Amino acid sequence: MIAYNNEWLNNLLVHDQADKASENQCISKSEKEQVYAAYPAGFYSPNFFVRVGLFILTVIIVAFSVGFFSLFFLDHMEQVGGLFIFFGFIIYAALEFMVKKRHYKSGVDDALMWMAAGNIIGGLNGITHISFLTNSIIVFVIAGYFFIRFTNGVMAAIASLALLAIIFFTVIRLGTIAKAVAPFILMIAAAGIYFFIQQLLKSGKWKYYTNGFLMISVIALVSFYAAGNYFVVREASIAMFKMDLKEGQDIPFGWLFWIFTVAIPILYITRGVQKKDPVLLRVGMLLVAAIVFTVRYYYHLIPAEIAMVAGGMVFIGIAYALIKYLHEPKYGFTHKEQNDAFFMDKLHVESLVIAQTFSGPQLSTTDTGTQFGGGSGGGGGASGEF
Amino acid sequence: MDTILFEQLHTQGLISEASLDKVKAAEKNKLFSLHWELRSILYLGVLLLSGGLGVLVYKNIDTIGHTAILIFIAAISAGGFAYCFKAKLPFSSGKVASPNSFFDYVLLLACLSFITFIGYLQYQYHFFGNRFGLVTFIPMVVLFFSAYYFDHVGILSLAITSLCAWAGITVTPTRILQDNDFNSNTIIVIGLVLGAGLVAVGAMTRIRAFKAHFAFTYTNFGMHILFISLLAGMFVFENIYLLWFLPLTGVTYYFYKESLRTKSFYILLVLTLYSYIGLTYVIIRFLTWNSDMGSVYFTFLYFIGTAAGLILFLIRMNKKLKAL
Repeated sequence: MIAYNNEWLNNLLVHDQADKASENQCISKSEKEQVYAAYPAGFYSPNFFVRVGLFILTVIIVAFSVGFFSLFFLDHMEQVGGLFIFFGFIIYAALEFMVKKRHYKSGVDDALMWMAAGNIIGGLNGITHISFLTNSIIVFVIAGYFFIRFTNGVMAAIASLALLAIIFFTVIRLGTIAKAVAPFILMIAAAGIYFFIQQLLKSGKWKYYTNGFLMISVIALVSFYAAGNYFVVREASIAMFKMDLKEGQDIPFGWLFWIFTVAIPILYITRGVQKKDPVLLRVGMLLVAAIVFTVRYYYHLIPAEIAMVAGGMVFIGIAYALIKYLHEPKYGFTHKEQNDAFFMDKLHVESLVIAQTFSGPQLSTTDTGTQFGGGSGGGGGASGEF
Repeated sequence: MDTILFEQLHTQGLISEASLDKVKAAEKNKLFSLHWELRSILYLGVLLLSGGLGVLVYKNIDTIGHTAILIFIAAISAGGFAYCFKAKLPFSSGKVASPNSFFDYVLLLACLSFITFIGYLQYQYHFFGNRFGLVTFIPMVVLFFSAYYFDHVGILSLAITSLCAWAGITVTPTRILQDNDFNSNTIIVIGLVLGAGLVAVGAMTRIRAFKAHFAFTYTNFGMHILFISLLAGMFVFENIYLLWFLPLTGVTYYFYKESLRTKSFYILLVLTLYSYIGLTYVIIRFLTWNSDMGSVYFTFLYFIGTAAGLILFLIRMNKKLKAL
């Protein structure tokens, strides 16, 4: 089922465990090396930045190869859709070949996967006009296939979104009553997906899909919230169902959606803390922003800058209180880092984020001199930043 | 950690009894870390508070309230710095750990409110008269001082950003290409000097071993500014573009050595992409000398061929850097 060598995938999971144990000083370095030697993984998986480079270069090769062969078909442009599907399958064959060549998350297989899927979906749409519902089904099938065969997490997320889209587009075709209950059906579907995935995670049978399952969980939690959010329901009703609402007029069951809007993130955070589930906790924290946005969109209680100052002080206060409270670990929680070998630390990503967010448009103090016309400045595609 | 797996490893004789016990004990006393959650909340808090105050003070100009707000901003800044002076660990030329994760954000808040304060003084009272440079210069000095004195890489990034703003270019990561008019030759020259200067400071920082862990931040900013300015120079001064290709080659070689020395895959990727853009520009200019269909075919083949070559290069370099 999975294209990659299953034994090696299993051994990679063993490596992960050994790394963790070694970071926590549970096993010695020589023991870790012994484990690595006993559980070899022969994949070609280069360093992350080399992976990024290989990804970009593979995209360049494939794009120009497709372009090169398309040059011979310049007179038959009406069949361009079929051409793209054809290329999609060729790229897919190349992907299977590279995986046979031991490539695993090397950037090459990532790029080929996305380009194969993109070409096939794009090609199908190039041939005829396809409805939203059919497109959702196509995306679901293709992304689902790539998730099952290549265990890619983002493909899993796309497939689960497509599944929700299928449900949505099917329901709204069924008439006015179906439209009215569409939010509830979507919420039930999202909850169903979430609990189903939790079962799969718990069963432990699908350990190579863990990453994808986590992505699906995030999508399901966010969709569950979005389907019940007052802003989403109200604006979607106006935009998609042509509901005739005046400014300030309420939607049916408005009070219920307001309860959902406020209660669901709080529920996520509470359950996240109780179950020590980082996914629930982090999604809940993110959705607090959605509460603030939704409330502020309809009720201008206080000016934005005062809300920012007050909110900022509250946040700093909460964090300060929690750090003081967790000075010694309590109830199994700590505010300290669990392992220091965190990828982000090495690159000082945080410092770049600070430079990005806090330096607003600054007045330049020198005169920009004479303008030279004609040159193609900018040098686009300088994608070194990250 | 998966204790069943470690028991299995133990029966296979790969890990000792003592190690297995340690794994079991660690698993039993496992803690749930809220480290990144709390850092995010703190970060967001600082972001909202300093941003909100910045807007608030300008919106309340000419009311009695604005003096109070100004005093409030000054108080936050002074209070923050006072806390940092009190809480900080003794200064050393090496890396100094921050006393707690709260410290980093208090310092950030203090520095940001200081910048707002200075900017407002100039806006309302023309405190520095017409010497606009001072408005960016003074915060820059304070930022550099804070970065070194309290050992904060984030503040150092801010300081470098404001140094570049003072010199006249924007280096904020996502705006470096949008906000700067790289068609202007002044900007290109400033960029070259600044980029080379930052790279030199980075190297000095490392050689003199004075806050050596700051070297990467200097080198990173310098590298991007230098490469972008060189490429811009090549595109703008079209007549002498080959002359620009020489320093580009030199700079690429320097960073190639640098990536080998620091075993940095990141620098390797950056230099590969920038020099590929430069090389491609030169080759394409040659190819499109006469614009017939043949050169179009050749362009396509050029991209396919060179990209394949670069893939082989990156794969080889990956092996080489790993083996170092």
